[in-house]
Amino acid sequence: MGETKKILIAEDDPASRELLREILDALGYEVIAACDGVEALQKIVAAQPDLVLLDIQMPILDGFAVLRQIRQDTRFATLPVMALTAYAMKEDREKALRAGFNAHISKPVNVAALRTQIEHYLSTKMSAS
Amino acid sequence: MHSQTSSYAGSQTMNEEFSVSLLAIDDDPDSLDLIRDTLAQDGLEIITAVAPQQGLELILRLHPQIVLLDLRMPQMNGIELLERIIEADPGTDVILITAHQSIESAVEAIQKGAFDYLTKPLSLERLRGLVGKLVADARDRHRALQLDRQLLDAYQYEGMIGRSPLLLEVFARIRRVAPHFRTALITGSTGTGKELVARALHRRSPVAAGPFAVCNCSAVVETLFESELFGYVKGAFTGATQDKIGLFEYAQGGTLLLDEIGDMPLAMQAKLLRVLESREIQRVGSPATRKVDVRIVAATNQDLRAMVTEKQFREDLYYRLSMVEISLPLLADRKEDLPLLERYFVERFAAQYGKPIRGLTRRAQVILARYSWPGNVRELENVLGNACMMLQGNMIDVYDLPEHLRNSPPKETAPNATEPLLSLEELDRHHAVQVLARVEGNKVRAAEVLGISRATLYRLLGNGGSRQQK
Repeated sequence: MGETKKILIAEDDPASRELLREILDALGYEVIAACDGVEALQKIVAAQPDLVLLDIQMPILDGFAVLRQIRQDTRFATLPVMALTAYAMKEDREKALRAGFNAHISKPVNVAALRTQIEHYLSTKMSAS
Repeated sequence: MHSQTSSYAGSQTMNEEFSVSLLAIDDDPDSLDLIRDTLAQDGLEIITAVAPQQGLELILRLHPQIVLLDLRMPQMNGIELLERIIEADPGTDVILITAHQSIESAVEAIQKGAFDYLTKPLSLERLRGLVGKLVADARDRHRALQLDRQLLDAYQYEGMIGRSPLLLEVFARIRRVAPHFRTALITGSTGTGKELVARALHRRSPVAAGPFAVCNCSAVVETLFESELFGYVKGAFTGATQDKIGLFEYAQGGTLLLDEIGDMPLAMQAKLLRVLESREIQRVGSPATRKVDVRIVAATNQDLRAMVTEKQFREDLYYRLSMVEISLPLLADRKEDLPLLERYFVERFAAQYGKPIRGLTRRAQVILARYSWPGNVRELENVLGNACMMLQGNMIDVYDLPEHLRNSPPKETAPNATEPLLSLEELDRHHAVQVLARVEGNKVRAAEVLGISRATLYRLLGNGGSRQQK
């Protein structure tokens, strides 16, 4: 088993952030939360999470801009990053995947799907490294 | 990206209306040509400079809206130059282009005021998309300045500004309650706008033409409460040299706001309750009763329910008042309204102080967005009022904000390790119940907030829906 995996969630809406935190907490992950894009970037460097969940619509830097900064940094080029969007629109999903997100999760979060995705990316990451 | 670029290339007739200028600073003349070719489009004026100093002079003279800073210099120099550009014109959107990328340097650049941070090799498509977006933003801002009044009006309801779901919920509640209420209770922390809501209830009521009176219960001396509210007759006590009406009679046919109702003494609470039930008052010193037709709005930032438990507030009065309750959200819970509020206050103070203030720099907005706002909208109003009063230039920057805001770390709510672990299904239900409580049991609204169908909500609530919450 190894140590507890760390997941960073960046989400500006306090209610959604706390719900996600509760869900991930219950799944046994260590949760680091950020309220905006800049804070997310700072915490990614400081805490070195194993996986990142980014809300697309955030103040200051949106999810796409945050992802771009992550991908531009060689240290984090392979970090699994998932997009969270409020609308379950097909275009959003495609836009997110095209931008380089590993996966797309629509809100409201389907807990089972979220869990499957997280487990998938954490295990691929482990076998890759 | 594609759609943005093309839609914006399609709006070529805009150049007459408003031209955007872009300054590219690059020490390689060939790159400047490439940038010129890549970005050339109607309505965008491109200026170039090959040396930092020349660039700065152009910025001071021409105030371009967008600056592309592409320097093959050690990176700190780029940051230094960025700082000087922001200092010279805090309203500029600067895109920094460097050869070395790390998240730390990107964060630094963005915190120092850069709009974005790109690395080489540069994707021309990305650059075009980004500049296209900035040009569109600059036009929007220009248009917004002209339409400011209209925009604000659209998101303003009785002096309250915002379009967040939480505030829209308050507006909707005022609309529903105002025509019918006899008594209402407004709860909310300090600075959330309780008096504005009270005034809105009055203005939207059938008695809008009647008087609106305010009694601040925390400012009334205990012994004078009765005469303040009900008035007195000549000779009622020493000094009562003539008849005087109280606030209830003054507000006859209108609305009386009892602010800080939690500070009303218990004895007075009993008298108030009797008036609410009988709709009659007695002036101090007179046995005659007088009919009063007054709508009562009580407001408080205290937890009346807890005060009831502690026997500091009458339970019967609490239930009487809280039949119609409007609770106001914290500013921290509706931060998406910050940009609108910022614009509203800056415009107001700019007019008040007669200064040509254009707004806040991006990094100043970052700081406001991160602060926890314990004093809510009133605190924001004070912060922006002070900044506008002291401001020398035309943009509010980081240093115009109070120090405790600049140094406040992002708030991190610690996970609660003592709470029992719940199954995911329980979590969903727990959340649904909380949302339902927040929207006062309105299942249609709760389903909307949760983004699920009503059927799903009913299923979620199921047998656990009425369960006791911890």
